[in-house]
Amino acid sequence: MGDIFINLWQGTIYAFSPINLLAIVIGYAIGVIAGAIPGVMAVTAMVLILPFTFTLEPLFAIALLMGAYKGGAYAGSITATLVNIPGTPEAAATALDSYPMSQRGEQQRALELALWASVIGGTISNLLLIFTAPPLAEVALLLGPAEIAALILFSLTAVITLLGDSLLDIWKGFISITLGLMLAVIGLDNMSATRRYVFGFEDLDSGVPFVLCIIALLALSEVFIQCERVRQLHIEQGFKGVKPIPYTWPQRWKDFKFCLKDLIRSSFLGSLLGALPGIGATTTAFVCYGEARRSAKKDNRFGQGDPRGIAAPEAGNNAVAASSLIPLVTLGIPGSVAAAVMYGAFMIQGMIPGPMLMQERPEVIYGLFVLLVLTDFIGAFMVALPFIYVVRRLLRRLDFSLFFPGVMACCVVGVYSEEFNVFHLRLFFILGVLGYLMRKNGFSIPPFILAFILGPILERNTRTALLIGGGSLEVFYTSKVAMILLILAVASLVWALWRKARGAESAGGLAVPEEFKH
Amino acid sequence: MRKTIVALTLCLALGLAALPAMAADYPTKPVTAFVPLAAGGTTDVFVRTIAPYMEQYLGKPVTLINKAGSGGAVALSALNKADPDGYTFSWANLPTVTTIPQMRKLTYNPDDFVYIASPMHYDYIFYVRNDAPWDSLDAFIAYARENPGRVSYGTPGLGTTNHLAVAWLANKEGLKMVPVPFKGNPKSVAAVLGGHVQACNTSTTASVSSYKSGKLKPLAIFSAKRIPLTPDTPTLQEMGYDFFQYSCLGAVFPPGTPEAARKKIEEAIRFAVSQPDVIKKAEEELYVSIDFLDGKAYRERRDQYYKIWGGILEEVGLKKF
Amino acid sequence: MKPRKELAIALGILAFCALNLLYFIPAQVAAEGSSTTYPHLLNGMLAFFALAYALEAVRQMWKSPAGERAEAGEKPSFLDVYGRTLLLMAVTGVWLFAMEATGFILSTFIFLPVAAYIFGSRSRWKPLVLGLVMPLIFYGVFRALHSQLPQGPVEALLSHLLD
Repeated sequence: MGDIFINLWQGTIYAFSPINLLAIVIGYAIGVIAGAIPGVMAVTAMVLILPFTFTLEPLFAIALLMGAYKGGAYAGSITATLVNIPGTPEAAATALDSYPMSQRGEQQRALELALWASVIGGTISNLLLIFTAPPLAEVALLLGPAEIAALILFSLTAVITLLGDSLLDIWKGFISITLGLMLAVIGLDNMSATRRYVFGFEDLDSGVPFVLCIIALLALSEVFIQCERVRQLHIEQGFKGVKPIPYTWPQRWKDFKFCLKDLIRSSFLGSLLGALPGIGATTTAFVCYGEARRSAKKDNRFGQGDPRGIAAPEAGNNAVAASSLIPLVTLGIPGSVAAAVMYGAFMIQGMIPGPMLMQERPEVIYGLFVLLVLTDFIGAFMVALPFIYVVRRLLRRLDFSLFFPGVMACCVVGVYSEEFNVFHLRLFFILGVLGYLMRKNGFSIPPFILAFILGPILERNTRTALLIGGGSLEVFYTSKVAMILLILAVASLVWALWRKARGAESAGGLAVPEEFKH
Repeated sequence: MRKTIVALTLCLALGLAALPAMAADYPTKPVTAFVPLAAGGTTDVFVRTIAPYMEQYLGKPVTLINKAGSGGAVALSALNKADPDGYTFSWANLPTVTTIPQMRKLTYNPDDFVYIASPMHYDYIFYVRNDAPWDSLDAFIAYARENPGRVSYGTPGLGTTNHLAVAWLANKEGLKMVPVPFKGNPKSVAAVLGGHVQACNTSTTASVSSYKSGKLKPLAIFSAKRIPLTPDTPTLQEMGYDFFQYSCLGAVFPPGTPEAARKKIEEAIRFAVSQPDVIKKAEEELYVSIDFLDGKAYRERRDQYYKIWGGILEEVGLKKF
Repeated sequence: MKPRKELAIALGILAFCALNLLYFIPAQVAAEGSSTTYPHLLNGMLAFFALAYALEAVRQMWKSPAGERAEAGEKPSFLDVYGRTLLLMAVTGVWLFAMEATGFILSTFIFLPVAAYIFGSRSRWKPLVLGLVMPLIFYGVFRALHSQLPQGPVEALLSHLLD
């Protein structure tokens, strides 16, 4: 433990310079802008600026990327709040409550709630990264395919809370889940390197990219839906119709106390899920949202602008940002796309991240940690607060007839620059229409997305476990962890359904929010 | 008649004059190069390391575009559709022009491409965990022979050279081992570290950090020569097997690109990989071996390995075309 | 939503399951040599849920027979409600499918004003300015980043002028 503080001190000396702080501000600003533009991911921005880091100082380069990463993790919630188009996939869960809240005129409250939740979640996760990374990484390593499969199954049950209440809505929710799982089947079957539903397009071999899928289903379909409201939009003309409600200091304090439990729970949950490869921020945000909803009292206002519905997913998805670096710095294994970009950034600087770097040059790793802790605060105060002030001002006299086409162009640029493949633009259009049809007919999108992300991990790990176990299901009950997780998954499924069944009679507040119903 | 002949001769002369002119002028605008993998990997960083030197030689920018997907086939199929004017080429790993076209139906025929040059090849190491009871490949093989079907090894995907090389060894020794495909080399290494599979055959970079911190034990080098990272680990050939695992990075033009452009890019690559900076970075930081092959040698190497890897694909039942 | 529509959707999904079972899985999965277990499992799940959904829709129809139809009264026609959206979708489709041939700048220059008019823009010139400025900004950013958007005639011209 003492070592850590010595290392941190040395890291501070090594890293703490005005230039590096400037890198954080620039990086965070890039991340916020990329994250706030629907369709353009912070990771895309990171990939695009990666080649330029060849000529930069190591820590400057890494601080720049780190800032962009953190900025993007927060900024997706801005457009999610204001126009119900998540700027990044991980903000999809936030939109469930932040959009209704901003519709009431409490835009400032919704935006600030998301920002402070991000800072809190990010900071808790940063501290966990610094102090518990090695043991956490060891635990993550010990989870084999069987355990991961069981864990994913458990995470999937969080979806249940996102389903509607009537029997009709529940069946439709299950159909959404199944369709999400089916869409994820497209591409090469990794276990046999053969094709499934590829229809002869080699562009589909690697499957439907997940960012593309989410932007299409949430952003493009939203634009199509807004198109129906054209006449209404003209009456509203921006947000003139709703009077903005200011956010006072006593209210901030009240919200903080009200959300504290969810903030802490989501931060830890997010850090844990983030340390496991493959789960990612989007899923985590939904799981945290689901957990907050599950633990709330009956009379909650989730889906209608409950502050906890903003705080929980935002704290969760920002906690992922730091903790997804745990496998990278302790094992040299990138656990997410962003971590893979960071891996590249280290490699460009002539360092290979992993346990060796931690031993050979601790000042670099701990310097990075120090910058990481600073990023959240510097970014929030120096970049994010002014930014949301400007955005709110701009939005007040926004011309929607120009805004939505512009959003579409941004999405297209974002989708294209993921892999520079024109085929993906066509896929984007097709999925956008699919998303529109689903939403118009009351099939909710979040369960679809969650199934789409988790399905392949579940399939892959189950089949890997079976392969290693020689085809028998033995692995699932000989491993205690897997067994416990499976029992938990089944129990939470039964419990959620039972609660639904009872809630259906009393018509409780667990309804799917209107924007996702239509 | 006479006029026609004169005209024809003139045309020919003009045409001949135009050809060297193209060689002298080329390139007159930026050259686009596809990278068949996502940004941030070894290949990507290597390609970006040599790009500035290629630009220096060519006098025009080289724009690198990452087109990942289908083991590189997406980049090559896009290349196949591009204008063969010498301003678009693609980097390609050897499997994309050898094994993948034999595993699935693609929109391009790898025989048609114009092979420019190959700047480097990859190195492969066969690892077990540091606390594993085997200290040599022989001991491992003996164990696998006694426990058929119970020994598994990690690969970065089915049909990758990492998988095929171990499959070759297993066939040769009559072993029954289970290949477990993971999503890339790092995950396959992680599975060994976590004890979920007994061994893995991985490219160097993914294992460097874990190996250096003493968590992995190398049993054999699968590539042709010993490597600086693990100088004491013998190669398969030294152990008496007539085999090594080979995969290289190369550059290809779309079918029908003029020779003048090919020659120029070949020279640019040769220039880039003879820079001391590049050699140092490649060997000390990226752990790949600089090994320049000109267009002809690269093409021959490709044809040779099309058959070698194809044969092993057939043995493991993955050859479809 | 009316139970009848729900039933129609459920039947549509069931038809998709049948198509999947009879054509997609044999031709696009089995024929490629992939394992069909998981696709069959998913198809079975989808069919089961769609069936349950259909039955529930039928039950709703029984519960609230015909009566509701009267309230409908004067409803806006289908085209009134969805006309704009369909038009926007069609234009978007053309834009995205044509981009490979036309390049980003040209197609977006045409798409943005058209989409803005579909969204009911009241200004005549603002959409044109948007169409002109936005693609050029993106082109500039990508150029500065040494990257590319889909190439076409305008990109070729600009590259000729600038390089």
